[in-house]
Amino acid sequence: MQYRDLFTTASESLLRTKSRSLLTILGIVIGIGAVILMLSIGQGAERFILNQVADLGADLVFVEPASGDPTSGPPNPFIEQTVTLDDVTAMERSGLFSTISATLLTTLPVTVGEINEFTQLQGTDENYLDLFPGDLQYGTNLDESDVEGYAKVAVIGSEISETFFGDADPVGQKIKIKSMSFRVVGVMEEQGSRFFQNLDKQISIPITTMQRDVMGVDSVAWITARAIGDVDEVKEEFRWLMRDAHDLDNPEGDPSKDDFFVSSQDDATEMVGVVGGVLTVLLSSIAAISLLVGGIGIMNIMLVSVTERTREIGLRKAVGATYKEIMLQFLVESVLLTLLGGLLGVLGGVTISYLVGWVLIEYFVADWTIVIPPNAIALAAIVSTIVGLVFGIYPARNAARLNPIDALRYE
Amino acid sequence: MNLFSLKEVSRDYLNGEVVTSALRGVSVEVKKGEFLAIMGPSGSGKSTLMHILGFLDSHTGGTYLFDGRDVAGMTDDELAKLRQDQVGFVFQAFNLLSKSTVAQNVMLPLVYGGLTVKERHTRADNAISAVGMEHRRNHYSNQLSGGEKQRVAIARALVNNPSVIFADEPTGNLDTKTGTQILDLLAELHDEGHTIVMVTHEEEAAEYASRILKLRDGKMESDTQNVNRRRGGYKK
Repeated sequence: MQYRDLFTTASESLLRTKSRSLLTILGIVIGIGAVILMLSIGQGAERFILNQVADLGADLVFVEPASGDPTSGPPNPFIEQTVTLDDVTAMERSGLFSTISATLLTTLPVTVGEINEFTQLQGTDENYLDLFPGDLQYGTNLDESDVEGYAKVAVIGSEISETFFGDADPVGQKIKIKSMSFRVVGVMEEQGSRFFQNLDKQISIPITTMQRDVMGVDSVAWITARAIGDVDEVKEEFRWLMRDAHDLDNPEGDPSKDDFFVSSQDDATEMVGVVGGVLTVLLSSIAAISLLVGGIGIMNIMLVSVTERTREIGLRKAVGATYKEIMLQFLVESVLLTLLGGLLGVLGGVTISYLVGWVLIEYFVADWTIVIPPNAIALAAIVSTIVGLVFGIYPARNAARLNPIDALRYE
Repeated sequence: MNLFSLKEVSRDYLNGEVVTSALRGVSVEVKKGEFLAIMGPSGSGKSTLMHILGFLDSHTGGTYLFDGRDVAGMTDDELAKLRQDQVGFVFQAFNLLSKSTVAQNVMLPLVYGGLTVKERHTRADNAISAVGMEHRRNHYSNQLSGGEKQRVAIARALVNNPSVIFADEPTGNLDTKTGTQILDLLAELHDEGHTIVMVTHEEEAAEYASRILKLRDGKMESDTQNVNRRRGGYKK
């Protein structure tokens, strides 16, 4: 029997039971499709985050408050209040950092005339835009004297500017936060989102004003700084400075006992890698389970098919088909089924990946990139062939082992 | 040279501890060009004999030489090769693939032969013409009448140009008139030089053959030449 005959015989058999063949491969289609979709989204997210990290530079260091209790879980910069502007001063004096900026965040209703809008409020300083580049559309940025003088001034995002002032020039206008009046000094260009926060809806005010007048705290949420020299050495050296400044009893230098947490962009990159790894393992398990279930479905239907076609098999043997030829015929049928399933799964997965990517770009994150993992497609083809072989071999053996006389008499 | 040469051929089945004998020492010589009818009541072993002759079953005792070659000890693949090249089968229940066309059914044995597609079509067309079914070439076999189905089955048996055609109760599922036509067709093929072995329990059918074997309880009861071969009169 020639290869082409194997192929035509198998596809003719499958076409005779079209709807059953399609239903049979549904499990494989969904399994492969889901894996492609999730890989696409996972790799898209990874690339998105890494792009943002790369934009900011690998030498950025973050200092956040921590509980100092190793048993209390990950630090929450919105609850702990152990990092203050004194630490900013300490960082400036240490000579380890070139640019330093402290940040405090909250969400409050902001009022302009009749318009009342819940807005993300960011307390910050004049250095912020050096670390997280952004351009002003109108006016000026916050300056040192604003921060030192607890000034009631604000730099607002492009979207919030449009909400409050429409086409009018916002510079010099007043906005109300907690019944205090702030003067708009600048408007940012459209920036999109960073780390999943929409910067265009944000309002920035001096961090000192934010601490004293808006939130009534002494702490900051985090400090960002650019390290001079080797980032890891800077981090370690600074940790010891901080332990000293905070009077911590931590001679062995265990970071989990500190009441602060120092990290860098490197850590973020590493984290993305770890998350990516976990995601891959998770996806592989889901894929394995769905392909197992799909494969069992294929095996089941192939067994039914062998039973239904007992007489056909007997006839084929009577006209000269060998054990191997019958075996191959049924194996080719199951592999064709799973390959077709894999192909439809890839098509479906890629289509939905594009749709999801398009929705993300259109409505959520404009600088998302759609990633179609090419190796996943190759893998889908290989895996579906293997599933067809593994789950097809038992029914095919059953078919090939039929005794021609019994098979011909089968009713 | 004898096409079939059987000496004391027996076939025992083992069912658990019980041994059943379908054939108990059958000896017979069949030459090329004979039209052999194998008769006998149910359980006489006539089907078993035909299956052994056609390489679908193997004997458990005695010797069976096909065209001078000992069949015992052949591998499954060698037997498959013999079925492919040397024999064609016609069954009582036709055994056509119902969702395939006449031409596809007739070509089925050639799929395992390694011929080019063009050659397969030529051979299939010749076989279809030989049984007078050209007008149904592209019909699906489930659209055919019983007689037509059996003609297609005969075409399928002819297509690989076998040394012998086996017909297992070929008229069993047909009415008298169509049955007669099928028997006439077999007789015609015999006249053209084909060797035919037909299993039947109908006297009228056996009368078409040139030689009649009668089996009873797995043994040969009689072996007679049939000089007054019957012809139904159709087509003549």
